[in-house]
Amino acid sequence: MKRRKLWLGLSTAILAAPTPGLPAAIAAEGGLVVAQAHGEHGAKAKAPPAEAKGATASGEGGEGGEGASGAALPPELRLSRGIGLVRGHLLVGNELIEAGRWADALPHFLHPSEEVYGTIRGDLKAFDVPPFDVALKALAQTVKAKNKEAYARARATLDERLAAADRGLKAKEANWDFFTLETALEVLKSAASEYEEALKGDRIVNVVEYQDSRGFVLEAERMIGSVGENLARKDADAAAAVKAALADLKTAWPATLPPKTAVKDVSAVLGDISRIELQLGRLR
Amino acid sequence: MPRLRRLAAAVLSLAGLGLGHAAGAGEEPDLARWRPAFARPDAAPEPRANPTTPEKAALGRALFHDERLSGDGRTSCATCHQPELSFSDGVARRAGHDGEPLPRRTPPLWNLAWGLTFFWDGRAPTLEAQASGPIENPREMAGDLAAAAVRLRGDPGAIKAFEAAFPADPRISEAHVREALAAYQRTLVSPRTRFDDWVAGNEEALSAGERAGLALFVGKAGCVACHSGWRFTDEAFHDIGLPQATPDLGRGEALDLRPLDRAFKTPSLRERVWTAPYMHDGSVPTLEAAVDHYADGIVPRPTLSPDLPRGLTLSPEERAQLVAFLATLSSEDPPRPAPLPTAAATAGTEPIVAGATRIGQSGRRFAPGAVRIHAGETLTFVNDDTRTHQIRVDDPRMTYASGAQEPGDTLPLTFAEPGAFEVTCGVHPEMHLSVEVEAPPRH
Ligand code: HEC
Ligand code: HEC
Repeated sequence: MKRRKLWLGLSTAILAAPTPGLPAAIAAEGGLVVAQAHGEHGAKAKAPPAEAKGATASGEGGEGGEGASGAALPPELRLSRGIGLVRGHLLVGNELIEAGRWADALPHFLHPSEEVYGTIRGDLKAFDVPPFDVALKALAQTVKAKNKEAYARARATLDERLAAADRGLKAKEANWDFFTLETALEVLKSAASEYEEALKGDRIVNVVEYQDSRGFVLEAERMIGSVGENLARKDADAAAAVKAALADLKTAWPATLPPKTAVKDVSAVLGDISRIELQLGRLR
Repeated sequence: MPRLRRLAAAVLSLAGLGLGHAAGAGEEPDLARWRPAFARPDAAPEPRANPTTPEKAALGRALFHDERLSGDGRTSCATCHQPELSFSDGVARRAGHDGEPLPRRTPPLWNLAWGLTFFWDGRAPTLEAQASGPIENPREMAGDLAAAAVRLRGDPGAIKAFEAAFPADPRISEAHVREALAAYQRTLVSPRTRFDDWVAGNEEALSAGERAGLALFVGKAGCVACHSGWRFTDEAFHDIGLPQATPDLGRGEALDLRPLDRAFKTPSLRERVWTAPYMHDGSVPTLEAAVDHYADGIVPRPTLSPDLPRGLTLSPEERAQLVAFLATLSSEDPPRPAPLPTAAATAGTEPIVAGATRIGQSGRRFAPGAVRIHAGETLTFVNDDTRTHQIRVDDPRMTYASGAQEPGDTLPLTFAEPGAFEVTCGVHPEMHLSVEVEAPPRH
């Protein structure tokens, strides 16, 4: 509960004063904008990359940086956020494979096991979710091998594992629609911090981060879409507002490859996300 | 606070798991005696005629990736045996040159130095002999080994590499291409895994759940009857009752023996986490599904292997334990070859029994394992085992293959010529009898 209040207060702050100086304040308050933790490609990163082995749920260096590693989240939300981040990576990775860009796709298949899995490893058992780190790594191998048929098969296996994770969560979650929305919001927060890492001024200097954030936004959209009708039944106006904000947000990622100049700056992205968050209370 | 309650429930269920493990640990006191049965060797065998030198292996590796061996110049061994995919290709049955799926799945190539026969149906007796198979198969590489050798002769790099690999006779010949490919493949040794640490005495290397899986594997589930030794294969041929969409008679067709229809070579279980899908036809998508097969999926038919457990029941927990155990035979990250020093393969060190002519076959062993007789004498093979066997002698001086020798069948075999001969079983190639035939005694 504490977490949510804090974030809501924060969104209000964003709406009230969308000034350029804000991100620093956000960083101080909500821990949203934080140091990049990608060991591989985040040049600024000082935080160690997530250990493939042995990282605990509180492990540092999760996707989107330390503060957003999910350590502070309740386990079910941390787990479903992790699953969402994995799916986000797969979404954008798949776009690149469809475009024949195997080498560009590879980081998006390595990140889930290198950076996300460590943040949820400790939560899997509690939700009766069988481990799927091998399925992730095996999928990355098919991308290394640039083998489309093997990729499709390994992908199907992993999708089945992720679906099992959904089932494990669903079995313990009374309000699935709201929980999904909550998760999508966490995934969007990660998108925002990846997006910030990708930007320097109005230029996108880190393509991989840009693509990460695109994948997360697409996944959040998918999640919200999956419960959209139910949410609309709860509060049609609020659901419509979420949809509209998401549509605005998405314009920052017009394509898999980044635009020459950024469509939105970070505070505009955060503003869109907070518009979604503002509706949360009405959609519970 | 619903969140708190759920957290508490989660903690409780974790604690429950912990308790379960503690109880399981009490039930496995004699697992340790299995350690020697799974101990890794410290050298890889090599045939005397084709020792594995670094230069030869390096040449073989280059040839393995060389598309010039194929008819269209676009296919190499590595096209199907992809190093990133543990030298397999990650699909059930790859499309051949004609676009139609090949009849069988591309197997991974780990630890073949210890192989006794090659291909799913064992039709190739050595790695050297195997190599021309894919090259000349019109649906695989659609090539011609002789033509490929000619092509390589025009390449200064190849000439140098053959000189280094075969200093005594650096010709770029078909035989040398095969030998180099074989030598390279003998270096594809799978790396040590957590299970090997357990074998070496580190009890903690396996979790309680994984040890429970091992206990099932060597106990109730009966897997070790076929998946034995450090590679987890008996090198023998079994019908394990897989439903077959397209009929494939496997070893039965290779030997033209009906009782062996649908029998295929027991695959190793090393590094299998990385080589889905499974079985000769790739019909089983996951290790979970492979385990399920042995409990729920066996199609009853007369050719089923006598070593296959019948009526096996496994609880969901036991299945998960078996899968967890199988995973410990694989590296936790994509494996790379960990070559071992090589040593010439040694023939059996069985004590020679002079004059014995009755050969038992119980428990998949010839007994005695080595005999000395005189030319013109007859050995009598008595199948006192529970399995079908096939007596074979594959030697230029004497080739012989019996029919299916069912339990109870007795088979006479006369050795006319003096010399040293090896008798094997076509179903269980690890069965081995050395026969020293001396000139007939003078009267
Ligand atoms: C078009 C795909 C393809 C190519 C190219 C290919 N293989 Fe294979 N390989 C297979 C398949 C399929 C099998 C199983 C065939 C069978 O059992 O009947 C196999 C089996 C084998 C085996 C037997 C393994 C065992 O466990 O018994 C070896 C060794 C092998 N291949 C080596 C090679 C080498 C060396 C080359 C290159 C000269 C090569 N392969 C080229 C598909 C391929
Ligand atoms: C009767 C001998 C036998 C027994 C007992 C047996 N297996 Fe197998 N196993 C085989 C054979 C033969 C194959 C390949 C069958 C085929 O492809 O037609 C195989 C295939 C497999 C595979 C797929 C490997 C691959 O690379 O395709 C796995 C996994 C496996 N077995 C696990 C087990 C487990 C677990 C048990 C115990 C529950 C077990 N086996 C018991 C003979 C046996």
